[in-house]
Parts: sequence; structure tokens; C-alpha cells
Amino acid sequence: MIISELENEDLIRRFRGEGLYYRVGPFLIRGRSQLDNASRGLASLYADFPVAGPDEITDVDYVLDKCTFEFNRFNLILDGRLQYPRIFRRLAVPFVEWALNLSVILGLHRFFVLHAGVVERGGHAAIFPGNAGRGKSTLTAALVSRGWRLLSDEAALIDPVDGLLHPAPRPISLKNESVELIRSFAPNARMGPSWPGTMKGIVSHMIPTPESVARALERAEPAWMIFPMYTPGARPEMRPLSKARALVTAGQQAFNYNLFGRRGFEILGNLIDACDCYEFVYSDLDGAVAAMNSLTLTTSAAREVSPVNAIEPEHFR
Amino acid sequence: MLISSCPLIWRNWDEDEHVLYHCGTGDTHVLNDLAAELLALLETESLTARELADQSAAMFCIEPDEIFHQNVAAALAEFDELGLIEPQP
Amino acid sequence: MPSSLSTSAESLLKAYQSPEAALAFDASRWNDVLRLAWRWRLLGRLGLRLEDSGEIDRVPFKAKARLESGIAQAKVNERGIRWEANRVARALRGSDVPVILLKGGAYVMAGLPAGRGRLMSDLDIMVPRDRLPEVEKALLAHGWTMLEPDAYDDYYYRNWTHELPPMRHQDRQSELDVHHTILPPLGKLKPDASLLFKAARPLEGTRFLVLAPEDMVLHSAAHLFQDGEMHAGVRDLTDLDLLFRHFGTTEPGFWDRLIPRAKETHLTRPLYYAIRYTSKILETPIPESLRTAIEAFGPNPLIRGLMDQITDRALFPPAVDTHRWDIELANLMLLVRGHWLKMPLPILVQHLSYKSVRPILRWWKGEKDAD
Repeated sequence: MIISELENEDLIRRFRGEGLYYRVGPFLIRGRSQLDNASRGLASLYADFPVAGPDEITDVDYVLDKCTFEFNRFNLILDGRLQYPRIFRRLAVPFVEWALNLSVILGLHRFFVLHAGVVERGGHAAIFPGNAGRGKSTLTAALVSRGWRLLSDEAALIDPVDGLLHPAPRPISLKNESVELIRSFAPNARMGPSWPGTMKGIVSHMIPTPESVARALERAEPAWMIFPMYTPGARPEMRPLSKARALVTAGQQAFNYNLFGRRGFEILGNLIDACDCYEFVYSDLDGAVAAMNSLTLTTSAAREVSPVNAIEPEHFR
Repeated sequence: MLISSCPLIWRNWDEDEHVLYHCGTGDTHVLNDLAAELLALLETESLTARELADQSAAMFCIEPDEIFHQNVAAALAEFDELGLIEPQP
Repeated sequence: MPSSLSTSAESLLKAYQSPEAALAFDASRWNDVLRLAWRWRLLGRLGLRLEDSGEIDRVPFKAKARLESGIAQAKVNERGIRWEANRVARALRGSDVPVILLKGGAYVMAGLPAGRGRLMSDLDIMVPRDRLPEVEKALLAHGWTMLEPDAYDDYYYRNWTHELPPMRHQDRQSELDVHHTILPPLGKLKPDASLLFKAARPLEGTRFLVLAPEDMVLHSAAHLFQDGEMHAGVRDLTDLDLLFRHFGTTEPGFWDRLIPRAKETHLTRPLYYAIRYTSKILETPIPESLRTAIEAFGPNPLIRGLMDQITDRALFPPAVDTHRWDIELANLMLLVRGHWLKMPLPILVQHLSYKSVRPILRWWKGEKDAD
């Protein structure tokens, strides 16, 4: 069952009570909320996502708790910690999304994590590591609207055992000019509401395609490691990058690199082994998508594409 | 007189840049050919700066002139500061 | 106090003492226990208990992953502490000043069970008071700076406390505390530092010393039960538990030396509390004779009752954290920031040599900048 199939009363009852449990890729999320509007807002962003239950260890647990004395504010409690106090109620949805980012990045040690967007086509995945302002979310959104499957716009989850990428598709968060850019580039894409007045300016979310969500358990082979460099006026260009450089540049986006110690170096090295590495200069989305679509494989050309790598959600024993 | 202090893990892709993981600090470094060679020589035995310069110059088929010695010395100073090598008594 | 929290605290302590108890946990119990273990910085220790007893492969996959991450975090910490000690040794090369490692640094470098699965942020060392200037000079020359540049604070630290102002290394951002004794000279309790140095033991293969076993225990107790309050949490109590268990079985005459040594160093009250609470809460196997003998050094029943309550409160944190999020985040940063767990990727390329650039992990200030 997916979230959109829940009756509105049932939805609200779950949020207000024991929690709405839902899955994002390999993660089990539990959301509780006393703010019905926020609950409905979240439910619409996550309409296609599967509903779950409390029979498994929860990965992320958030609570939207009304402030006692300030009517227009609430507290966001994440995994038992008062994470964001006294937030304006109308900003609940973007804050929940940020809280989820925080939790995924900090709390999830099953995977080697790169701060990166990840999309997949034809069995091969492209990873876009990058800081803020480099355009990776905008690029990711554009590609997803043109047929690439979304694995994540935030976090490349690399399996420490076999190096495959785990999807965790979620609403893609866009800021300021990117919101309009994507709306006009992909008029048919489903977008959530815009939230003006956050500390990052205007925030909105592109809802992942139903296909991306439906295939959220299907892992992908990494094939391209691409560092996006949005450069106004420039012609789209894929510049090959030396693997040593790619390793250290990607490594700067590896949040739990240290946790894996020496093994982290191996995992990152293997990932670089498997990928063609580029710096990607682009200025407009049409050009960028065309350049991505004409990518070929050199490094992994000799490898066969593995069959679909489905994973089972954990069943509690 | 200098030797590397903790296990070093190397990786290279047939280019002239080498990546190196230092187990003591968890740092990852990118080194060029010469720097990599210097460090690799010190992994196996303790050498003085002069011996190091002579041996590495020989490997690259260059004359170890004064500039070269200075560059080697500078590299060693950096290695020391980064904790990759230590003086042996 | 919500009953579910107190039962999860009990479950956590039970699992810590008898790992097989964890196999009976359902998902909801695991959620609570893992979260509590994380708060109490016991994830690593709990994980190791389960690993050592062979149970870890029998817990649910997600629980195992979380426990293993706790273990991994502690290992990274350990690496950082060892490296700090290495760098201190490097800075003091050529000097014969005796340096005693304290607390976590000592546990790790001495290979003690109390050093496993432990998160620690600073390195603590102790040197003789008259050698402080020399040590300070050497450290400053090797990249450490003082954290209290203000003249008054500096004066305060040097004259009123038992340590130099905390030092921070400018590249690694790690903190080093240099003590000359282990309790403030102004306090009622004044252990004579030279006693500690006389009994200290050299750490083989290093230039460092560690405190004698009974001093290590007394120091831990003094730190934990300073000024009649329990300063830290269950994690520090488990340190004591592990020290007692280890020395109790490996160190001949250990139990008998505790009280005399406590008397010599004026630490009988902390020892009393240490024995009382480890045996009460963690069921540490302390010999009956010692438990009886230490009663003579306890407080009056009123104070003892109060202390019991304070300790209880310290063990049962509120259901929801009321700290400001950025302070809480500072604790999270213990796990993430460029202190022990720094971004390890300087880029070094140049013509015939190389120079390094160290990016420091500073992306996290609440929410990072999403694109």
C-alpha cells in the first residue's frame, strides 16, 4: 500500500497517534505530527511511497510538536533530540526534509556515504558529488524529468561489501532560481508547493517519478563519477579527470570516510576504479541532458551489466 | 635517518599521481612521482637525506644537483610535519 | 519519568552485563536501547560486549549495523588518541621529562579493556610541576597554541587549577590538557603528585608512563564523583567497572591496596562512591571485605540518600532533550567534525615536491546548504 491510498482520516490518525511509518529505499521512517497541514503536505510529497509498520527497527523518527506558548511555532524532535526548536509552522515540510537529510547523513552507518546526487539509466549510475551551489540537485532534477531514474539527490549510499549503490529516492529540494528553472524545463514534473522565507530563500521540491520510487529497492552499478560545474555561458563539456584527483575530490564529500578507516580508502578506491571520471561544465539544462545522454562507458565497457539487484526489506525475527 | 611511521596504503592508476592512505592519521594524500618515490624508499629502510636524494635521482636518471637536494629536503620537511616520517636516532 | 525510558535504561544495563539478554528485545525495545546507548556514548561498548560474547551476529541486522558503527566510531577515536600521543612524543623528543598519560589516553595506550569502545575527545597528560615551562615551550614549538590567551584566564589556569590552559593543535584541532596533579590545589582534597609519579609505570615501547592501577581507579573515581556530584554518566561508571574487573583479576594485591592508597591521596570518599555505584548499578564483583571496609569512609545517611537520588537522575535523562539544538549539535560534532574524525584528504601536488592543504570539515552548522 502506498501513502496516497490511505484515507485522509486514517492518515491524520496515524500521524497524530502511533506514527505514520513509511519506507524510503532501505530506511524505515516514523513520522508523528500534531500539525495536520504539515502532515498532509508531507503525505502529498510522499504519495507514492510504501506504507510500513512498527515491526522493524526504525531508522529515522521525527515528531512535530506544537509549542506550548507560541501558537504559530513548533518543535521538531529528531530521534529523541530537540533538533529544531520554535520553527514557524508554515515551514514544517522543508524542515522535515532537512531533518531527514541530517539523519541519513549522520545516522546511517550501513553505507559508505558521499554527498552526491545519483541517477541511473540502462543499468549504469552517474554520481554527482558536490558542495552547495554547484548545481547537483538542479542537474539531478533535470535528468530525472528526462527519463533517468532517481536514486538520490543528496546521498550516494555505497554498499561496503560489494560497492553497489542503494537508492533512497526522495523529493528533490530546489532553491531560489532553480525552482523556476525546473518548473519551466519540466512543466509536467510534479512539484510540491514553494516555501518562501526559509533561511535558504525559496525552497520547493520535485516529487520523484513513480518509477523511481517503485524501483527503490533496485541497486545500481556505479559507472560515472561526474563533478558538475555550472558555468553560465559555457558550452557543455565533459573533461576527463585523473582518477587520483577524482578520489580526493570525491573524498571531500565522503561524510563517514573516517568511520571506515582503512577500509574507507579501499571502498573509495574501488568506486573510482569502477567509474569514468569527469568534470562537467554546463550552462543550460538542455545541453546538460544531451551531454549526459551521450555518455559512453570506457572503464566499465568490458564489464557486463549485472542483473537487477533487489534487496529485501529487513524482516524482524 | 628517516623512516615512515605507520603503515601506508598506496593506490595508483598508471598516471603520475599516487594516492596514499596513512593508517596513523587516517589522512589521504595525493603525491607526484618524485614524492611518492621518496616515501616508498623510506618505507623499506631508514636513510639519510643525502642517501635519499642520490637514490631517487638515480631512479629518475637525473643529476642530483643542489636544487634537487633542496627540493628533497623540503619534501622531507613536509613529510615530517604531516607525520608520514619520523627521525630515527 | 516515563516508564518506557526507565525500562529501556534497565534493558540497556542488563544487555551490557549479560549480552544474551539483548536477544529477547523486540523492535521497539531495540529502538529505545540503541537511542539510549547513543546518548550515553555506550554504543561502542555495548557493541563490543555483544561481539566478544558472540551474540552480535544473532541480533537484528539493523541493530548490528548501529552497534558496529558505535564500535567503528570508537576505533576512529582510538586512532586519533594514539596519534596525539605520538605527536606529543615527537614534540618532547630529546627531553627526559616524565609524562604520565591519564584517563582515556592511558586506557587505550596501555591496551586496557576500559580503552575499547570508548569515545574521548582530548588527550590528558601529567608532568611534574617544575617541568611545566619546558613542556609548554616544546608544545608551542610544535604547533599547539593556548586556548586562553587572555592574561587573567591564563593566570587563573596556571595558579588556581591543576593544569595549563587547554592547548589546541592548530592543524589537527585536537585538544591537549597538561596537568601537574589530578585535583585542583584549592579543593579540600590535595593528592601529592609526586606520590603518583613514584608509583607510575612505564609503558613499554613508548616514552610514556601510566598511573599505578590503584591510582588509575582513584583518579577515575575522583573525576566522576568530584565535589559530591556525579559529573558524567553511565559511560564513566563503566570505565570504573572495567578497571575494577581488569585489575581485580590481573593485579596481585590490588583490592588490598585501594583503601590505604585512597587514604594517602585523600580520595576515600570518591572511592566509596565508586565502589557503591559500580556494585549497585553494574554488579561489579567487588570483594565483600572491601565493600564492608569502605563503609567507614562513606557520608552520613542523609547525604548518601541524596547522592543516590542525584545518581539516579543522572542515569535517567529526560525523554526529550531540552538543550539548545546547537549545543546538542556540538555533541553530535564529537562524532563528525574535524577533531578526531577529520576530513582526511589534503591535496598535495607540486613540481618536485608537494604541499598540503587540509580541508577541515565545517559543512555542518545545523542544516547544510542543500542545492
